Amino acid sequence: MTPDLIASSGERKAAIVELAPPDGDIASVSLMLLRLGTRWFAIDVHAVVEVALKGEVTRVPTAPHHIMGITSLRGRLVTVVSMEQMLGGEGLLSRENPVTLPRLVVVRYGDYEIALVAETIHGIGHHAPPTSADDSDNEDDRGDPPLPEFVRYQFAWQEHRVALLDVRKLIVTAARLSRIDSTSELVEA
Amino acid sequence: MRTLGLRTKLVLTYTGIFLAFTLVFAWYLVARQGSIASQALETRAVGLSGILAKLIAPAVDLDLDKSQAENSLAAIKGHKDLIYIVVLKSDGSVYLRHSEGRSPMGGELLETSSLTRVEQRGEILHVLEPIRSNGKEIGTLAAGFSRQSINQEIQTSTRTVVVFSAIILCMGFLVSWVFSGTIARPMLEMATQLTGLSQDLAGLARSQETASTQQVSAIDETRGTMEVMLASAQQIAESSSAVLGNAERTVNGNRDVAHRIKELNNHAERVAEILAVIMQVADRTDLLALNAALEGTKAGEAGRGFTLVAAEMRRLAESVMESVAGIRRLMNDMRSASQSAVQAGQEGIALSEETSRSARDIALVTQQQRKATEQVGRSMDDMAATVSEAMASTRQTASTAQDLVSAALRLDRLVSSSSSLGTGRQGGHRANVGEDFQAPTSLAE
Repeated sequence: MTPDLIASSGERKAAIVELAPPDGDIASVSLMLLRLGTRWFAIDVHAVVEVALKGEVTRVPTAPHHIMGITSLRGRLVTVVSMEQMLGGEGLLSRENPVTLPRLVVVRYGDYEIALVAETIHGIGHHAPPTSADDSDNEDDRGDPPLPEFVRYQFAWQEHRVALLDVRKLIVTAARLSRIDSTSELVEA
Repeated sequence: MRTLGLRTKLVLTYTGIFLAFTLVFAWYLVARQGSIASQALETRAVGLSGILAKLIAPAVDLDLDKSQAENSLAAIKGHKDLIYIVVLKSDGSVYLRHSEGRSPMGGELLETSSLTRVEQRGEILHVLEPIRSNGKEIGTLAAGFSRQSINQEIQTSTRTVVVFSAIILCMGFLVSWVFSGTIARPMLEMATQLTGLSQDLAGLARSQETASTQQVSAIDETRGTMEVMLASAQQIAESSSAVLGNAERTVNGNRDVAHRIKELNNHAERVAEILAVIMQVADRTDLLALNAALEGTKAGEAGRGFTLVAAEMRRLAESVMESVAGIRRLMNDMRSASQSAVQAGQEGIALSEETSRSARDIALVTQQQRKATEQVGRSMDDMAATVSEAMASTRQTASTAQDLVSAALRLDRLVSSSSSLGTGRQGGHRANVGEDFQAPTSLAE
């Protein structure tokens, strides 16, 4: 991870935006909503490769804690990342009873591909990104803890606070935590 | 007829012995004295006649004057026993006759005799003494002596003997009275004691018979109670058998219910497996629809319809999964209910088995109680037989006591004497004996 990313992440503030249906007048993005414990996350659908069942995950020796292991998806090996460990460690997220089985959300940025464990995937929605005025309108949230650098911002959706993940920074952060330098081009990009 | 007492008999016996001894002694003494006196008189008469024959022999031989001859007899004149003296010559003529004035009873014995002859006739002792002179028999002296003095002496002796005999008899009576008292009193006391013991024995026999009667009554009551207990035990055994049968049927029913619930659980497990398959299919359908929606969204405007179809498929899959989840909840509830039913059934089985064991225990205890009751009944029978034997023995004892009382009464009557020992005590004692005498009789009846 580059120092500017770290510096920019430290200046980020929490922002609450609404996930609204697509409107022709307002530019919106398609997001996939997923839940991990009691926390909700959103990922741009263009970064999602596929959603698969969480099969057998092989633990990799000497791998960091946020790397759950690797799994095989139709013949290719994908690194499984634990968002729980990346957010603050095990036990941070309280478990709920999901209707479906655990999922693996495979995201890609460039040539890098990781899989995130999600308990529930709500679906795909459209969301209008907040403007700079919206950011100034949420100054009251200064008391919240700082967001991780791989979270662009947070917005409200059905009484939930959804964190929009930046896939590129997520991959970079995971690599940095794993002391992998091969993602330097992503950092530079 | 009144029976004489033992003491009276003893007194009479001893007195009779004394009387007989005294009579024998008196008779012997009197007879002996009479004999001695007669012998002495005879000796004296013979001697005197011999002396007279020698004194008068010269006068007869010389045929002197009677006065001279009577002078020869002067020495014996006035003899108290002499009655007569007659001197006969050899030819039988009376030479001299001398009489003391007492006419001889039965006459004179005037016979010549060559030998001295003594003859008793009536109260006179006649003595014939031959008179010899120079070896020649010249006459016979006939003398008569009276036995009156002897008789008077005998009478005097007899009176003396009678007096002494009376004294001895009185002394013997007193001695026998005292002696019989020393014998009869302990015997009377023993008879009294024996009578008392017999009375006590009769009382004990009566008490024992009364107790035996009460024991027989108690045994009869106990036997009745045992029969009631036996009937109750039989009824309890029948009831416990019915309870045992019901409990066993309940156990079988509960086991059947448990078996059916188990089958139901198995079916539920199969349904759960099928639901798992459905859930898995729905999950995969949801996953496929999600990926389809993802691809449709990525396709942009061209994939909008595809995205909508995929969204509907997702909704269907989610609806199926929610339904399956609801079915699972219902299945879990049903499983919990069935488990509760199984647990309740197991508890029911346990209770029924406990009831069965209790019923078996009750049946066993009742059977033991019935055996014990029967044993008690047999023991009651044995006890009744024993008591009957005891009653028979008691009756025998009462009869023996009756005989003993009778014997004691007879002994008491035999020993007791109304004249010597306390009649009041004996009378009361006899009255008691009479009363006790009736009691064993009633017992013997």
